[in-house]
Amino acid sequence: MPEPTSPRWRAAVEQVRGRLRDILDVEPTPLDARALAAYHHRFRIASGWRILVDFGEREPRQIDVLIPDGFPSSRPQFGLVERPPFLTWPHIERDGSLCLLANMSEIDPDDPVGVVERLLGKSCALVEDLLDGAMIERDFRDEFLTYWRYDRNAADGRLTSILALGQPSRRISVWQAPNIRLLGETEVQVTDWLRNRYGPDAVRRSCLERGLLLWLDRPLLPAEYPRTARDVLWLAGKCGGDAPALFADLVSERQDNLIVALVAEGRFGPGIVSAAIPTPRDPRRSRGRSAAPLFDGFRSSHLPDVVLARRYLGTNKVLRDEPMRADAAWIHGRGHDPRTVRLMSSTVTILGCGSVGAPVAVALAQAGVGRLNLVDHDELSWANVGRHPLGAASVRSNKAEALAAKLRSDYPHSRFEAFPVMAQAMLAHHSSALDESHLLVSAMGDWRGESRLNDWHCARGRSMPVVYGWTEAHAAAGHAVAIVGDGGCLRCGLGRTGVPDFEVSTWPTAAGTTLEEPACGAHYQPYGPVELGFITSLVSQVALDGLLGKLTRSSHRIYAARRPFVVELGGRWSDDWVHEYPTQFEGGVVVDRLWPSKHCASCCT
Amino acid sequence: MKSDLDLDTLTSPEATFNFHRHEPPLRSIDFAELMPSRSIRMALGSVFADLSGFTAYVDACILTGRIAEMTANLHVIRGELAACARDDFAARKVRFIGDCLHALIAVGTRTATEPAATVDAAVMLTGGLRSSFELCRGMLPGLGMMGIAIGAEYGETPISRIGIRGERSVRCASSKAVSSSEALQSDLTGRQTALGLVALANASAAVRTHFGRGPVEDLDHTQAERLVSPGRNASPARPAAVSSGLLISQGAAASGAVRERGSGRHA
Repeated sequence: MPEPTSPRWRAAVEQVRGRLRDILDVEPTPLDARALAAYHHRFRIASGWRILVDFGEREPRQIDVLIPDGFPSSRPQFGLVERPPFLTWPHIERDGSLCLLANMSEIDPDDPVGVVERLLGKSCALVEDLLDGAMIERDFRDEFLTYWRYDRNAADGRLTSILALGQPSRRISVWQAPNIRLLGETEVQVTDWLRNRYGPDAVRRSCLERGLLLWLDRPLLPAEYPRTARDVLWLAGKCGGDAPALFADLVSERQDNLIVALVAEGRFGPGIVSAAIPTPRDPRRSRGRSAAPLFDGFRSSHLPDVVLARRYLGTNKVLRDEPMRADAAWIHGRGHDPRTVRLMSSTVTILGCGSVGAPVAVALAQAGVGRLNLVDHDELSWANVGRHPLGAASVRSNKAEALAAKLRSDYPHSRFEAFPVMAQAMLAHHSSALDESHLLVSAMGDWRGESRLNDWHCARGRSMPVVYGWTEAHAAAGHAVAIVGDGGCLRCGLGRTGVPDFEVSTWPTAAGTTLEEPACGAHYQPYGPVELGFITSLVSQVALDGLLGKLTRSSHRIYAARRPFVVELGGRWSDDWVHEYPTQFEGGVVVDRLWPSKHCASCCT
Repeated sequence: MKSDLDLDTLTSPEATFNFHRHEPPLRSIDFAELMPSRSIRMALGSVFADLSGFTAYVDACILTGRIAEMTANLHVIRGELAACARDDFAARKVRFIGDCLHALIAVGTRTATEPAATVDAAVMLTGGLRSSFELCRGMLPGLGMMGIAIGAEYGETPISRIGIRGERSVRCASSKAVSSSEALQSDLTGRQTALGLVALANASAAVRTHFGRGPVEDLDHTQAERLVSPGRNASPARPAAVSSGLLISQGAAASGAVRERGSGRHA
């Protein structure tokens, strides 16, 4: 037995040993070093005992209680000694260890005996269920990705899928390059994704091939996993419909490598695995010569398709792999976020890509918005880097262009377009892009631009929501105003120079609310990225509500920072805030309020 | 060419073999159907039973002119051992090699062999063979000094037929398990039975304990049955099996020690 690792470990192990002795009425049989070494090293098993358990069979079975070196903080493991071959029973790994708990489960480190008792009971319950047999096929199918992963014979980490996992069986496009093998629905989707991810020079047509997606009625059992090309052909036949014909077509294209994606619905959504069929080759012939025996007896151009299919789909081994999913549904909610479909078909234009607009753009891209138009005429300076998602690499680049490039690379399944112009120019020359948008976000903090935008919005009948976001001094409060068809327009709640009618904080001296660089007219608002985070989240949240149709009337959402923060900087709550929200005196809150409707000049025109 | 299989076989640069399992019992294996390309491959028990002292008995018979008796005895013993393996234990005789019987046995389903049950069955077969031999020795003349050395091992084994179908074909079951069982019996006396390492590793606790210290002497059918049958193998020094129901109920009582997440599908 290895050396105990700590007094705590020794005490816990002694408690467990004592409890097992009580249960068995004799001293439990300790495991020798050889028996411990039979378990996977990732468990770091340091000690253990073997106990006999009667499951009502002719002979009892032996269960190993395995104590890791991190015990009692680390979970004990349990192994079944008498078991059928690997992948005959689910939830039993190759070394015999039992899969008892989901990955996010936790144990009480102060009750090692209770933990062992609980998990030993679960081990016995699992073995009883396995002996009963009803769960075997069900769990192999429900959790088929795990068991396929155990049995795959290829895993270079290059295979990536942006396929939508749904019916029917269909042809797909495959990009084969040294750094990535990408499965996509069409050539256009694949090449767009690659351009976004790796830049425009990455795409070479010679790397594009055809593949096949087979939609299986139900997940495969381990015994059904394809071993040879003929097995894949059998699976295609089993799928029925167009699948066999599509497969035959694919073979007739005589590619070097056929990739077949196998998709089926598991317990918690669809999963994808793949089988790659290489061209049959004769290992006895020197490299670089003909791909015999594929063409033996025929000139390569005269090989009948029937013979080609038979030769291609013979007993050559297939490579079983599991693509990494990079499709939008998976990235944005692991296939379980019902908002993703709507968001992916949405277009949002963000006017102003500064310290508010850029984080909002990033948040919306992460939320799954399919297309973002980014508008900003300004360049990123070193002073911006401290509170902007773009860093040093983008200094002296246009903010909109640099942000679009970054987002394209980070979220290659979405579309990002940059407009390096002022808002006024955007309204004048690119209004079609705005018209096509499902939502506009204005984070310009510039009354000239926003008043023009408000006029444009009112003139268009406020057909899409516009979300205006801004901060108060020191980011002591933030505002997100959503203007929709019903309710007031932006100007209804702002003064003639863009000063909001309702402010949360007030500052006794104007000095300190804006600071100035040692240059003429170079003012800026002093706040840091941490305080700003609450406000950009607020604006993003309102934008998301607008996209998901939750805003039926113009509304105003406010974030107020904690009062000590405001007081520390020399500010206080405004009278309006105290009057309207007397119970929120300590701040640190988000509140909703109605946006006023005054039938202002913009509304009435 | 009649099928895709034929075409592939003809065009493939390598020979094509399709192994399959035979659903136990192995008694029903038909070697005539096992051409190399359709061989069986499965985990099973391989048993070698070699008549010990037979060469000396043959020499003595030649010297004393009892060749007819010797020939008759050999045929009777062969027939009895083969019948014992086939009829009493549903095993499959591969062939006799002189005075040595090679037999295969397995317990399980169409999809999987049960290792412990197969080793138990192999132990029962070894006991049965010894009892049968003892019966022969009691009834046949001149066998007083002879014994039977029996070795058994467990492992994946291909079973096939080499050569054309019929009398001239050679039955073939060749694997590490077969080699080990043959090597085991060659080191034994006529009273001993031994299990190989793989068989021991897969054996039930009672069998493993009994054979763990080396070859066992005079293990006949009665002793083998006592060893393998439930209820008779509990040793006072060995911890008794605890009921799974008890452990499950104790585990349920300690549920507060583990916070489970997810579906809880696992057990």
